[in-house]
Amino acid sequence: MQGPSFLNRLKRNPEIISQLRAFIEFTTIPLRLIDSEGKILWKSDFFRSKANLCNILQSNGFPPRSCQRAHKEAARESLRWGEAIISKCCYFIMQITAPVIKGEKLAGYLVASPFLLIDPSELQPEEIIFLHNKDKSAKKRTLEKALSSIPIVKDEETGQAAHHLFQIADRLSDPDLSGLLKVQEAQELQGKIAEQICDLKNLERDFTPHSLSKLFYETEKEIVAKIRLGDRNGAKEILYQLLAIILIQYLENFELLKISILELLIILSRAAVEAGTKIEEMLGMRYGFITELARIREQETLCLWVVKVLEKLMDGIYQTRHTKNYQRLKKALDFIETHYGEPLTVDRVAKEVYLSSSRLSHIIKSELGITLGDYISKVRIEKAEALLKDRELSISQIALEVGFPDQSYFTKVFKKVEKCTPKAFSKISSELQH
Amino acid sequence: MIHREKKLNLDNAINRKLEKEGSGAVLKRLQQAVVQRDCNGVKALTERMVTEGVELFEILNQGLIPGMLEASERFRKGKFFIPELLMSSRALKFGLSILRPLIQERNKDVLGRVVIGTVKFDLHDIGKNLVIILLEGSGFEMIDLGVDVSPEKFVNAVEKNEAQILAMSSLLTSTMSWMKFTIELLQASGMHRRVKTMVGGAPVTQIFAKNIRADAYCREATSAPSVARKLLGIESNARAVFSE
Repeated sequence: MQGPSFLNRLKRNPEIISQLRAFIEFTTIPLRLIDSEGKILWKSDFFRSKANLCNILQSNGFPPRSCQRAHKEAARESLRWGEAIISKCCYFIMQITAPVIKGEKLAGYLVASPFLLIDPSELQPEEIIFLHNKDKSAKKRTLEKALSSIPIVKDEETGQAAHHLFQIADRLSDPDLSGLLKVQEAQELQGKIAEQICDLKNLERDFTPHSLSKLFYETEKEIVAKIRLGDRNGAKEILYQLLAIILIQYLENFELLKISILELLIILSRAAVEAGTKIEEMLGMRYGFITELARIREQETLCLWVVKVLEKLMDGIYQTRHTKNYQRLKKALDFIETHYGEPLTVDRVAKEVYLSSSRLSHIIKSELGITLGDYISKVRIEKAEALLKDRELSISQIALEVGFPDQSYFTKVFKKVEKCTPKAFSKISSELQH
Repeated sequence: MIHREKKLNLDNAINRKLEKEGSGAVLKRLQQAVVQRDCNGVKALTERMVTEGVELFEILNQGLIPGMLEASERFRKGKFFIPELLMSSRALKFGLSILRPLIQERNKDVLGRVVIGTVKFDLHDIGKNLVIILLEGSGFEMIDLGVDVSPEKFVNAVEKNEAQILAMSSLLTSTMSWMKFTIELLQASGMHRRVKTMVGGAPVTQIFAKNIRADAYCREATSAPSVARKLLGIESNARAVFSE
């Protein structure tokens, strides 16, 4: 009987009691602390009145056991999903439940109930009939009065109350609920990936391995661009998309899934190097990543881990970029990213970031390993490739659009970078599409 | 009580307006009434369309269900909170309570028996519940196993009820494998010859359905009736269940 006595000790703790009271004051929802056997250890003043809604319903023939079951089931769910659960406890009457744990076990739970989502006057007569249950003669007025005495909590307020309740449950629990938060984190990520898959399904009627690898290739370029810019949140969003694409293909084959993740890892770390992480550092990090990857045995952990890897890479980039040079460099790169269609010279970019041309050239060469001119060409070619795939503009138009003075110069640079002409590239990519 | 009277006047106004509109526009308004959580509006519009002789399944499939789907889409996009979603499903119930007895009366011949459930619990098993409503509406007998259903439970229910179709939904990529395990168990017990499987849910794709050897993939809730009919060979001119 370790559970109940543990909670008994807690309910005598004045600090906890004051937190429970603060919750009631803040949300107006009645609150109970119930142990795992269903015994009420602490309850708010609402329940002291004989004519409270729960008492009246029970006198109308609702077995207390069904209430207990509703609370306990919700508590188990909250344990499983790592968050407070908002659910119905009796027809349209609502509850919010959060688990209190001792060791690995559910020791009890906090139940914030009863409350309503709408004004009782908006309830339909056929809904209220349910509350009379078997006892048809039950006093209508007493019930109406009891209904009107419970709080109405609307829309996002319930979410806030749920969040608040979970925090209190966290303090009551031993150890705290951080273990559950990990569960929640994993679930949240799975939810995000599921959403991405759903969005992809809306975009495209039927996937083929071909259309998926094309999609992967395009999305991969996007994430590289985001990492290069140091855009953490943007990169994360695209990572969810990439995970969705990978999971559509390999969900039931864990080995292939792992291989695709490894491939993704290499893309990410290469982008991080481009963004300024020192190669020696990256090699060390990569080694760590690969040993970690080898140990992962399940899909959920794998996805969560990739997100963590991206975070680490972005941290690395952020640290390097915090030097003064990087502030300037980022400014220059951002400028190129938005002005590639204009005639750009070293002088023009240098002026934009208040550096001399030679100083800028030096910074770029030392940080990126290529000259400014090469970098500008690289950005332009990337933009041109996207336009070539769209096939809406002619090659000469594309050349002008991305900032080359004429088609022949564009073709020359393109050939140098991609080892094929723009025309051939356009043809290949259109064949890939069909 | 003044509140009620106001609502009543509003209902009359809705009915007057209805007379001037075509059924397409009214279906759209019914859909919006579900999204707006307007119980009285849903009741009035559904009743009116029934008396005007609009096909029952059309009211369901083009009015009530798309409204609920839009509400859950709003929830997914973070525009709706849980209470709003619950209120939409409450409004939906009022429309269903009008349609259900009429549909039951009409569908005296059962097309087939379907066992349905989600492989793992999700707070919002809306998709599954909509599929139940739609399949019931088109004449299937539904056996709802609810949420968090194990492969054994699915297989036992199929056997006990002599179901022709087993429908499974999953909402998380992490629980989708349970569909595969269930189908494997069906095969191991030799029951796969007697029952057809159909799968669906937000993260479920046709590639996945094919890989786990499901008999059919249901892209969205509203396509469930035609997929189910096709599975039982009732609809001869329907599209292939798997489009290659």
